[in-house]
Amino acid sequence: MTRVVDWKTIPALNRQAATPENPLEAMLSELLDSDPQVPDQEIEPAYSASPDSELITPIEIAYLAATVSLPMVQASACWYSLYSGPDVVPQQLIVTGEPEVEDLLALLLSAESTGAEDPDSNPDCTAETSPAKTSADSLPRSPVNRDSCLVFSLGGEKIGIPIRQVIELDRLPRITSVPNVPAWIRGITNLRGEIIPVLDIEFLLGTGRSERLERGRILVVRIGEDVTAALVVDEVNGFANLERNRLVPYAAGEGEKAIPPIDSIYWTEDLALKVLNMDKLMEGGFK
Amino acid sequence: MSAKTILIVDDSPTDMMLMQSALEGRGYILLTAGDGEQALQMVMEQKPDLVLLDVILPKKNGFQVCRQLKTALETKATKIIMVTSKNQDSDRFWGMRQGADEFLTKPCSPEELRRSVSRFV
Repeated sequence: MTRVVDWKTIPALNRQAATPENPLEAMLSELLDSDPQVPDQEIEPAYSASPDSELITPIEIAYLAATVSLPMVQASACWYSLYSGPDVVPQQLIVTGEPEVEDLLALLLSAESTGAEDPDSNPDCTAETSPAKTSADSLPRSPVNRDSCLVFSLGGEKIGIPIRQVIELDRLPRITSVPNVPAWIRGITNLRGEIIPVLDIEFLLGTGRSERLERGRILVVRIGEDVTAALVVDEVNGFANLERNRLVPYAAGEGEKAIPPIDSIYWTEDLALKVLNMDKLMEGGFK
Repeated sequence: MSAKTILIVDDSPTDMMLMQSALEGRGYILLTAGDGEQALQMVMEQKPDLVLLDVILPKKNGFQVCRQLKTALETKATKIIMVTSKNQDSDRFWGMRQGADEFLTKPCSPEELRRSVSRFV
């Protein structure tokens, strides 16, 4: 079960409200400690993976570690935790229906200083209706002229992928090769009982195949409406809010064997970043 | 001093436009070609000072074009920067073996492109 909650009803996650005294921090620490699959060292890479981000409060670090390691809160929550600019406030937190998440959500929504309402009794907390009026309405909104992306490294190059297409990040799992599949499928893996394909993103981008399977992380992504797949990347660098007027739509050349899943190039004076659109895989070139 | 001529060879309209934008208004004469054969023809006719050369091209690939230019007496002095999305060491090695003067991974920022170009023209 997936549940969508309006961010503005969760002001406990507001930066100003996030202090070491906040009970949420204790809750998150408890979550981390209670998960035997999350060794301490796993928290460190998640924390240090984005040196450019403003990871200021302990609560945000803990929250990020929890979301990355426990795969329970989807990428939109990671985005907020990393917080890449003062004028960005996400609109929704998407959570899965696992028990720990229900507990966490209950704690978030009961934050005293806010007057937040129970999401079950507040129809405005669903994605289909307009947001409730709360004190958090005065917070700055995510500017409509920006796209939020997760930035990862691959072969020394940094690449962006829209946050809406990222489901979770995880450690590199065991990948099983499968015969007679297209060259852009590296194999399959077992993601908590669900068998998903692992795509060779370097092949798809035409940059050549690397042999770095022994390390790195995976990004679990959504392609189209209902396809889930994993991409092997070297490391996750963090999140970025890209100004739309600097995104140049990408058109592949005639010499390309197939259309790479590149949506645009984010182009500034000192940066050129490929921005992916995994849905392009469903549109033709790699079917 | 006369303006230097740069030939940009790329079949992707996006990459072509980005490179042109980065170099426009800098005193260069910019020429463009969309495939390998056209690139060879333009080098012979226009004698550019520098060629920005993609690798994956229709008709003749960038490696072939580079090799041909660097082995012909009348064009071997032409400077060539290979600009390609193929960023593995083996590709870089192979590009340099064909005689390329520099290897850039695209997309590259305007600053990075101009820095490389300024080394040759």
